Amino acid sequence: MTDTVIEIHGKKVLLLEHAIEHDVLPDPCSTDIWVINHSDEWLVRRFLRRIVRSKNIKIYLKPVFLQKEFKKFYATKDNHLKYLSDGYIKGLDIIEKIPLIEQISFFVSKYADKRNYENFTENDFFIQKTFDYYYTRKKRITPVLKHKSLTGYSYPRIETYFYNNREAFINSRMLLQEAFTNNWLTRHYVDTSHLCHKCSSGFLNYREICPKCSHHNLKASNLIHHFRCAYVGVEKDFIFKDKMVCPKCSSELRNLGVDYDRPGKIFNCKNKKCQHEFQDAPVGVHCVDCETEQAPHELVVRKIYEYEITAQGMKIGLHL
Amino acid sequence: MANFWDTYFYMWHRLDWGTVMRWGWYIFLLDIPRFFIVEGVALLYSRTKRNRTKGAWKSARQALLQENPLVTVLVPGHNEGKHLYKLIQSMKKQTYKNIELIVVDDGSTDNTAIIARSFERTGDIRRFISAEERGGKASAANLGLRYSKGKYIVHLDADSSLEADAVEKILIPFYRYKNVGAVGGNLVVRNREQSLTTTMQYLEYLQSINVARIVLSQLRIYKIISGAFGAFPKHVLDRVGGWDIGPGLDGDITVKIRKIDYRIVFEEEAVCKTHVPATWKALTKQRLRWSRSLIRFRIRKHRDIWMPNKNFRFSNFFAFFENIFFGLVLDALWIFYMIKILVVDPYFLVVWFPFKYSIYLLLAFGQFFYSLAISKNRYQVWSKIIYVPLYPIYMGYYMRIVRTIAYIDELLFFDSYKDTWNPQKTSAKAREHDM
Repeated sequence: MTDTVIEIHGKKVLLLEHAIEHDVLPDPCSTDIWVINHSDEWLVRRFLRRIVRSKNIKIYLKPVFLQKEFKKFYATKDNHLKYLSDGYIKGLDIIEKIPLIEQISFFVSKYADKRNYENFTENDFFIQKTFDYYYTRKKRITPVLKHKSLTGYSYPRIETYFYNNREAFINSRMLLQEAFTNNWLTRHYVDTSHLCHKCSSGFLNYREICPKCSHHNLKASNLIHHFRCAYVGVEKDFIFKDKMVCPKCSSELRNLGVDYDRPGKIFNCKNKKCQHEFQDAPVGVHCVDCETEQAPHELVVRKIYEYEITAQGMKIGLHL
Repeated sequence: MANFWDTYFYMWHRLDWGTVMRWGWYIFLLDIPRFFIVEGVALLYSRTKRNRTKGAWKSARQALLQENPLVTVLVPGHNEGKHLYKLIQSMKKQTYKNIELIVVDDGSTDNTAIIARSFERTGDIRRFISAEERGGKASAANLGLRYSKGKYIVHLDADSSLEADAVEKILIPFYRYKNVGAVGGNLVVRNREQSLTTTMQYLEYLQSINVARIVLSQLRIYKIISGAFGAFPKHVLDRVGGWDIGPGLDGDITVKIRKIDYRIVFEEEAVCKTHVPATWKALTKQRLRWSRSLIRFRIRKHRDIWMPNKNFRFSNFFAFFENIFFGLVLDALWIFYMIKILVVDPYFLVVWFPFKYSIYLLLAFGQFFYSLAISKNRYQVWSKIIYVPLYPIYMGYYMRIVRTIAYIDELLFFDSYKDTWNPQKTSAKAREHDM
């Protein structure tokens, strides 16, 4: 079984369905554009990854479009399919994409045969591939928010080159950093994130801890100042049946601001051995991934950048 | 000059003692007996007694050191961050070591909280409690009391600094006598060289705090433990519910403790060096506040002291009586006679002023020698003798006028309830409930 090929505006469009189901890459030379014609998100993603990971310039640079009609089936928050393809088209209307398509096919036809990957290291190849792609697409390498990513941000296309989450995170950053230090890329600040100092995870749990025993089961209570008799204590001092009654002068506290106010807060450590009472609770950070306990100042501060190919970088992309 | 002395002695020669007694009987019947004779006798008595009971004091000290109870030094304050370093230094030098220092910040608007928090982190302050909303000194002190763990609470102002043995010395009376509900410390003016204002206050503190309180304590009518330095057993403070709204909360709490039949003692050897107002304006403001509280607490809030009911205590009555009589009544008398002379025989003032001044100057020197006699640092006291001639004017005119204004103010206009020393929300409640 082969997939349908139709011709629109003189371009051969391959509607991918069987290829996706069977996870095989079709011949890149016989058609100009690939359009995903399948509703299963998981299968589509498997297929797109195959394209991105491909070592064939004709495949990894192939214009691949998703169809808006299927978007409702790809109902994930991250919308990662978009970042592994050239985006959505509606009703197979490709007229706006034609300049892009021609540009890509011109680039492929010009450089495909000149490429000799034999003496490339894997890393060099990844850089070459990245530059090819972002040069032809005239796009910046943009970080996107992704909750499955270790740090909350991801460079979806580059991370797809690698096969596990941790490796993807480290290698993609190294790749970008290397390209940046070689002046092939410039960068623009996007965000700052705090990561676990042991495993670089951004999935961290912040909570107030007891300064004495570091226990984090704390109870915060308000201080109450009774104006009339100048008694100050925590809320529970004042509770009498269903009313608030001052333990010093036995009069009832009715109106906040008139009879009493709340000048501050106090924490109670619920650790039975400690029971420390304090006001200034330090924050403790617990890494969800590696369970390391750390102070906020120990966290690794990383800046998130968006990258853009420089004039010097273009020479690499064009393989001059 | 010779002419001046001639006239002066001529005045004495010509003096008609009948007229003098008519206009100034209270000087001879009240002021001199109280400030010179009673004081002298009581001072002599207390000195010899203290000398004779040296052994008992020594064993009281032993008992204290043996028990070594935890003592909370409680420092409530508003914008006092700048004094904390010195305070901590003076705590570290204390001969008594089992101290927890609790600093309470009453809604400071400066960087007190930041300073104090960092000292809390280093452990120099055991506990720093901050109330972000200002509530007045009483509420800050009570908040600190709520979290105190010590058997005794030493109440201190942030800007006062203690002698190295002050905490030890102020605790000894609890072991020396039975049933002591509070011990007042001795105050010495630290910034005595700063201005004439502070030098005069130095002399005043020597007399009215050092000497007078030994005497009052001896007569068992001592009734104000200065907020600057005093010690209380925690259970006593808990029983009276801590401090009530000021100004004058230190006098108020002492009365509350007296009312439940505890003895109040002054300990002259526990010395705290305190910072006093350096300008006449600031001093006037302070004294207006202090004097208003005489009316507010002695006449209004604690009026039951005057009532002969089942809670009546003669010592409390007498303490109040002495206070009101020598404060309020004598002031009224003084003004009454002043006006009477002006109206009846204004020419007599020419004789009357130098005469009265001479008498009070003698009295001032007498009191000065009392202070000198009991002083540990005689040289320091002696060096201030040239200021003694100003003392009758300072006490007799300046202080009297300020006091009288404050009394009238408070009696007629309840001005202490308008004092910005307290936030308005608490003053309103205090007024409403007649506190």
